[in-house]
Amino acid sequence: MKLFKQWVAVLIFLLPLQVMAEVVVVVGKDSPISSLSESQLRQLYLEGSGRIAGIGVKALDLPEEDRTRKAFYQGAVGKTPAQMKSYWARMIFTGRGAPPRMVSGNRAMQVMLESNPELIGYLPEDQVTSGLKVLYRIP
Amino acid sequence: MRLSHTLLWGIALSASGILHAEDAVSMEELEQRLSRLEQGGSSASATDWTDKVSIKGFITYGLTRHDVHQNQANANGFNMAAGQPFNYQDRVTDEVSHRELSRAGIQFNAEINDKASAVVQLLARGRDNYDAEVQWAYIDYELVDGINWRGGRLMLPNSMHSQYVNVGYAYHWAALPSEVYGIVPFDTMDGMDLTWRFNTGTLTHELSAFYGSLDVPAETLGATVVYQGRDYSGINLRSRWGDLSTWLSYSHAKLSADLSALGLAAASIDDANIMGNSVGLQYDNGTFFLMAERTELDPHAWFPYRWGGYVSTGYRIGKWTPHVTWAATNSSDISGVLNDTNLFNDALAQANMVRAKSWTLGVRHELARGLDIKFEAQQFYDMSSEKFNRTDSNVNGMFSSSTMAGEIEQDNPTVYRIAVDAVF
Repeated sequence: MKLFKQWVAVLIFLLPLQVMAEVVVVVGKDSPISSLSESQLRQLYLEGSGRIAGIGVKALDLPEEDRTRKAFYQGAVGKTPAQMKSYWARMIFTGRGAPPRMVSGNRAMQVMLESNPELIGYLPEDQVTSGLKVLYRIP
Repeated sequence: MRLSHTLLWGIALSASGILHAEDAVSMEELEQRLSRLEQGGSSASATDWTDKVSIKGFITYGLTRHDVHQNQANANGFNMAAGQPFNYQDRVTDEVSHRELSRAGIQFNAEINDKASAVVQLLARGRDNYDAEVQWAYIDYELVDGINWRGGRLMLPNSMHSQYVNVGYAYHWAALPSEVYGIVPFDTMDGMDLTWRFNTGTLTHELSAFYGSLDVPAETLGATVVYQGRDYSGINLRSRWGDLSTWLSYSHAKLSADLSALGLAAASIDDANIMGNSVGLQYDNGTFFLMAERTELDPHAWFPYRWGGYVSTGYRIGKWTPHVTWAATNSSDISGVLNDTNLFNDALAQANMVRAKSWTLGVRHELARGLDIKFEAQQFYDMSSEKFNRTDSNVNGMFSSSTMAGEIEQDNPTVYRIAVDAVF
C-alpha cells in the first residue's frame, strides 16, 4: 500500500511533464479580430496571409523543430511538417505564395503579436500573456 | 529569419514613433532586446539587400534505366536509330543514366515594395549538360487585394503539376507520369498571367488566365525546327475544399513550324489551332491520398492528337509512403491525318503517335525535412498503335519514335528510377 501511494505520488508529479499544453491561436489584444473559423485558420496557414474581419493579416510560425508547431499543423491543417514542406515547395517555386514568417520561439511570438495587430500566431496555452487574446483552440 | 528581421525593424521603428525618439536609450534597449530574442546577432540595416531578397532552391539526383536489352531494328531501311538501344522518351536506355532525372534549380525573390516583387528561377538539367535556362522570370504586381498580375517568362499550366514539374520534393513520384506529362512538348511561355483568389463559402479558389507566345526549338527528323506558338492563351481554376482539391484548365494557340529546311515544305505547319485541356483532382487527408488527372492535346496538324491520364494512390506509414499508379495514353482518332493524301504528314503522324499503359509501384522515404529518397518501377504494356490497321504504326510506345524499330520482344518493359530530392 505504501508502495502504491509512492507510485501514485510519482505519477501525479510526472503527469504534467508528459501532457503538452493545449495549442491556441492568438492575436494581439488590440487586434480587431474577435473570432476565427476552422476553415479561415486553415486557409490562413495554407496561404501565409489572408483577410479576416476586413483586415489583412499575416501568419507567423514557430521554428521548424518546435513541438508546438508540429501539434498545431496536425490539428489545424492535418499535415505533418514534411507534408507542409512539400506543399510549400509547390507554392514557392510557382510563385503562388510564401509560407508564414518564422519567429525564433515563444517569446518572440509573444512580442511580435503584442506589437502588431495585423499578425496572427499560435502558442502553447500556458504561454499566452496578458497582451494577447485567444481566438481558437486546436482540438 | 531575414523576413522576421524586417518585421522587427518595423516594430523598432514604430516603437521609435511612439517614443518620439526623445528617449534614445530606451529605444536602443528595445532594439537590443528584440535582436537578442531573434538571436540574429549581426546588425542589419533596414535597407540591406539581404532583407529584400530571398534565395530558395531545389535539387534532384536521380538514376534511371530500363530492362530492354535489345537493339532497334531497321524494318524498311529508314530507322536512323537502327542498331542502337531502345530509348525510353528518346533518352533512357538499359544503361544507368545519372543525368536524365538529375537537375538543380535556384530561385531569387526580391520584394520591390508592398505590392510588387520580382522572381527569377534558373534550372539546370543533367540531360542538358546542366546548361542553365530561365524557367521563371517575372514581375508580380498586386492590382487589388486578391488579384495579381505577372509578366515575363512563366511556366505553362498545361496540367495539374506542370508548373512544379522539376521540383521533385513537391510530389511522391521519382518522375511524373509520362503518359500525361509527356503530351505537351513545351513547358514555358513568354507573356503574362492574371490570378484572382476568392472564396465561395468554405471553398477557396484560384482563377488564372494567361496570354503570351513561345518559340521552341525541337529536334524533328534529325534537324532543329523552331515551333512557334502565337496568341497562346488559357484559363485555369484550382479549387480547394478541406482535403479535396480540383483542377480545370483550357488553353489555345496558333502553332506554326517551317519544315522547308528539311525538304519537307509540304509538312510545314501554318497557324494550326492547337488546343489543350486538363482536369484533375487530389484528395489528401494527411495519411491516405488519391490523385487522378486527364490531359489532352489536339494540335489539328500532323502532330497527332493525344490524351493521357492516371490514377495514383498512396498511404503514409511514418516516414514511408508506398504508392501505386495506373496510367494510360493514346493518340486515338487521328484518321483525319492518316487518310490525308500528304505522305509527309502521314509519316510524321505515324512517328509521333503514342499508345501506352503502365503500372508504377514506388516508395518515398523522408530522410529529413526537405530531403527524400524515392524508389520506383514503371512497367509498360499495350503499346502498339496497330489497331489503326496500319502495319507501319509505332508499336513501341515511348520506347522508340521510329516506326521501323521492330517490336520489343519483352512483354512488359520496365523503367527503374531512384531519386534523391531536396529543397532548401
